Amino acid sequence: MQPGRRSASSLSIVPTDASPPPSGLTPLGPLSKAEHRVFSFTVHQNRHLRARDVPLLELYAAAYCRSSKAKRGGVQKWERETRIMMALAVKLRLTVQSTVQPRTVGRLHEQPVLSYYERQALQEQMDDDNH
Amino acid sequence: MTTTTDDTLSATDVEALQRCIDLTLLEKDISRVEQVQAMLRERDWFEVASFCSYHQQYDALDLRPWEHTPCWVDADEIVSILAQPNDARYRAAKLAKELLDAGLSIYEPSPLQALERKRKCYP
Repeated sequence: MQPGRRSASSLSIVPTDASPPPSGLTPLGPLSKAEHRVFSFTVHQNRHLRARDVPLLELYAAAYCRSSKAKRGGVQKWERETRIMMALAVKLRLTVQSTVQPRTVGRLHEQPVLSYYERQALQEQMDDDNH
Repeated sequence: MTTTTDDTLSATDVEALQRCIDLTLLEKDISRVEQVQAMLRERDWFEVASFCSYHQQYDALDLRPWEHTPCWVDADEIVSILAQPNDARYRAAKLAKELLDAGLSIYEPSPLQALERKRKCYP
């Protein structure tokens, strides 16, 4: 349970079975819509996660949302929230550092692949420059 | 993510979603195939299909983790999203609209190839 007054968004709880995450893992308790989305996304991107990781994963989803909200507040609060999120991310092996060999990361940087949206944005920028 | 349920899916959507499942089950990545097979045994068809659609579109469009797929855009929200170019879903909504305008499904596993095929058939 988080201390202090709860925000309006944290009270907008979505029942777990209303929009289950697109994965084989299901949250144990109710999550807010934003937390649910982070939960689903993290499960999709990290196939090493198992049912035993669900409790920590729920905390990670909540920590991510709190960290995002704290961006608008003071630096100290944001730093505190981000530290919690990072600690959970490392424990769950979600960070690049905890999953990929440094040499592999180096190779990836040598061959950047632009997403379709980035290619579109680049194309639009070039079109604007030509006009 | 889209709020569409399987009650409101068109035949085009169902066909595209089924193709997403089929393509995912044909992948070389055994862990992904096993994941989807397990989901098909335990979960609702639409949930598994939309998961596969997200997965296929994510790969086909080389998306970044923070970028949205067209299948995540609620068709009812496309107009309002396109009115705000700074919306994180803007590009996805634009592509979703292109798909819908071409008579295709927002769940197409490979949106760009589907649009290209459509343009060749109906130039």
